[in-house]
Amino acid sequence: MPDFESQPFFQIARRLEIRGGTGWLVVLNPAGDFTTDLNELQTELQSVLQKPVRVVELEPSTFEQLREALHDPDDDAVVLSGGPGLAPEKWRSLDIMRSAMERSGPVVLWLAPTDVANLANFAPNIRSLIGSEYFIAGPDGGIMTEAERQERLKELSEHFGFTDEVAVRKAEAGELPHDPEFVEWLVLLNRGDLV
Amino acid sequence: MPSSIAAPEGQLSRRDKFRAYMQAFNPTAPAAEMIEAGRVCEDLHHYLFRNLAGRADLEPGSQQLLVGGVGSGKTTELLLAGRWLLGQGNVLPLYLDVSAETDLASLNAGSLLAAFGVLLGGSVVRDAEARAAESDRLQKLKEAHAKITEYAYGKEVKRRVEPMATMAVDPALMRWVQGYFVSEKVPGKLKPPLPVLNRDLQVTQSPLNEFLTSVRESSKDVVVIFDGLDRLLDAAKFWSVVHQDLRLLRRLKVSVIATAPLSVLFGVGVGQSISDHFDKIHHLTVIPSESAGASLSSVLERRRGTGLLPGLLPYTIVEFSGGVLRDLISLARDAAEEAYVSDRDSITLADIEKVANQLGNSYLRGLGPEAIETLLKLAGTKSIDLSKPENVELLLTRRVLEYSSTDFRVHPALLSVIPRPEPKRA
Amino acid sequence: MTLESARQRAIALDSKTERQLADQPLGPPKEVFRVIRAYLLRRSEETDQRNNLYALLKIYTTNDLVQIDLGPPIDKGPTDSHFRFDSGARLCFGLTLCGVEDGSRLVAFRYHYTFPDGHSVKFLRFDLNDEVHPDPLAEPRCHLHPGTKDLRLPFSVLHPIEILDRIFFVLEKAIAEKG
Repeated sequence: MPDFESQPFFQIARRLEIRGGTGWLVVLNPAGDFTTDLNELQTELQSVLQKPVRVVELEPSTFEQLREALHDPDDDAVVLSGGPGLAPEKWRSLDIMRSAMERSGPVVLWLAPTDVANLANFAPNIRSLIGSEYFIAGPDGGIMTEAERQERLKELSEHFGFTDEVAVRKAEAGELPHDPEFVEWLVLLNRGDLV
Repeated sequence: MPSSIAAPEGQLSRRDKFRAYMQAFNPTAPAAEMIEAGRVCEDLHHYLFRNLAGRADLEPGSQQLLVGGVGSGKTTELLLAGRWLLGQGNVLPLYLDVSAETDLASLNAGSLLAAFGVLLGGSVVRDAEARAAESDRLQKLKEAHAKITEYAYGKEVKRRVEPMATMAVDPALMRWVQGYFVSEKVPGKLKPPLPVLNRDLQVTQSPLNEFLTSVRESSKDVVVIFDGLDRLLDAAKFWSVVHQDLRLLRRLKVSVIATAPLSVLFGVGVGQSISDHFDKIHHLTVIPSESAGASLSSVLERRRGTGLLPGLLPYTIVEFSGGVLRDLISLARDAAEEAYVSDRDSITLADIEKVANQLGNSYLRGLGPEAIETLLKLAGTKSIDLSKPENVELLLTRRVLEYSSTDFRVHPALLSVIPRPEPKRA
Repeated sequence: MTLESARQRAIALDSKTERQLADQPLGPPKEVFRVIRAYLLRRSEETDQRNNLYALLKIYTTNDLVQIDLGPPIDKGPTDSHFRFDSGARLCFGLTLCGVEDGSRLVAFRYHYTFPDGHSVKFLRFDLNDEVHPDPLAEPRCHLHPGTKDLRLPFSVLHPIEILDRIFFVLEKAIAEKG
């Protein structure tokens, strides 16, 4: 079965931002550390949307608790966390209360991949709000690849006219200048101990 | 809600253009806001709302159901009906989304009346205050409102716990000896349920009569519009919740327009017995793109979507939506979002196909092999057996769309991704 | 009044820089990265340029040190990895952070803003060295290169976002207003 698109949290936040910070979407947690990833999602949303982001656990919240949580306040961003998975009955009861959950701020459903089927089968009203907006939490990106690191080292070496090894020797002897390019050079060589 | 972007389109930055588009294509925006902003095509369902409103106005006490699938535009039709009624001048229309007010899962007899009574009472009291009605009359109305509010939301009562004479006198237990008061909450109809008692409904009649008399004194009739009841996907559950309340409302000559689940029309067993209780059941069908493509496309145009949707792309979105209004709006928005994050200046066919694919996948998830076989058969033969509950489920979850009572099709976005069986080798 | 007293004042200024760095803790390095990325995203979307922040801004971590880079380590002319402005200007930068309890502190930075062709000044570069120089009068630890690498004028330690504020809302704005 084809899978949904993998997107880093930054891009997901960007999608919500261009919508004017409204609407619903689903982010699937493929495996890995549910809590850490949720913290990162929350931080990224906060950075891009420039508004507070709250996490609300769907289980074991009641109708009253959820309604209150989603409307007080109404316009921040909320991540509704489904944890490791929700039972069909829970999806049915969430679906019935869809109107009570509607709000002006964005809603991100943070779900286990198995929950997509339950959402489709037992929560058609909520599914209708989401449209095609399903994303698998992808790697954060921005992490410098090995090729990029090597390219940068090459540029530094060519510009200053000496090799990485010479740069390290100079640093060890206290002869390397303290300009920020040399600091970067040492960091990229994993010689932060010489900084 | 972000502020509207009002500069002429030629002067808007790329970001502003997309932002303005997104504002217009928000599938979660309240229907009332879209109507106010002039973004709704009132003739999309051939002015069905006028039929609803007209009968409710001309036949006090009439009861009509509006039945349609998820995302078919029911709330919009109801609000348009309410607005039309208001415009007549001789009707007090009251709109209520019951599912927003209370947990429908625990709804029982009396709940609709309670919600209606609170809304009506509030309106009547406010009107009396504005008219500076005589104080006795106003007081009576306020008491009636308080009574119905208590019925709806419950109350806190103080109950005396009598002293327990056999207990030893102990300073820490003094209050047990002397007796004391406790506060207890008595739940109401719109809170977790009480046992169903038919006589409960009679409690509401007196305050409701009070309000209705007040409204009718100004030569108005009351029409109540109940939205959200379609969320009770099961027809039997729907009926068990509403039938007593609706019976009383008919006696009170209050016209009712209510949404109901599709299973009322297509469910096994209960459908006909429910239908017989209503003066009219309106079926808000899915709009077929081959005959109403221009109308559906005008939905996009109305929201000024064509600026980012060049050429015939609006029709592609219409095709993939299957005529489901909310899917139409979602696809239009999602495609724009895709174009934006991909750094394009307008939506392309690839963007639309990508989001349609995602939409199809979201419908595909959770389908077993039998369901897929049913859908493929429907696509090939255009026939589906709705006497089977599992097939009605496909309807309720929008994998199957109803264009009329005899025209059923697989949602086009789903059809585009559904796995076909390997052809058998000779 | 003498050169020596000028040197003493320069030394005192560098000490002040040290204290400012110690008093200005930042959030954890990843958070700083996210904040910068979100900031640049917003600024970029306010322009007509297609700066793909997801691809441009990079982070590299080794032990306690984190390097955040945008663009090449040495600016030798426009590249696809620069942040581009509507005016024709470009920006590349790198900052080094050291993780500390509950956050991080600045170790070094360089922000190289190149003006559009034809501008009277070719570039401005904001630098923070990782240590004081033996001659702080000629090379303050935190300094500005006003269009030449041979001159260094003292500069305050600013939060990474505050430097970007000056680039976007002062430098770029001035160019735009000049038309």
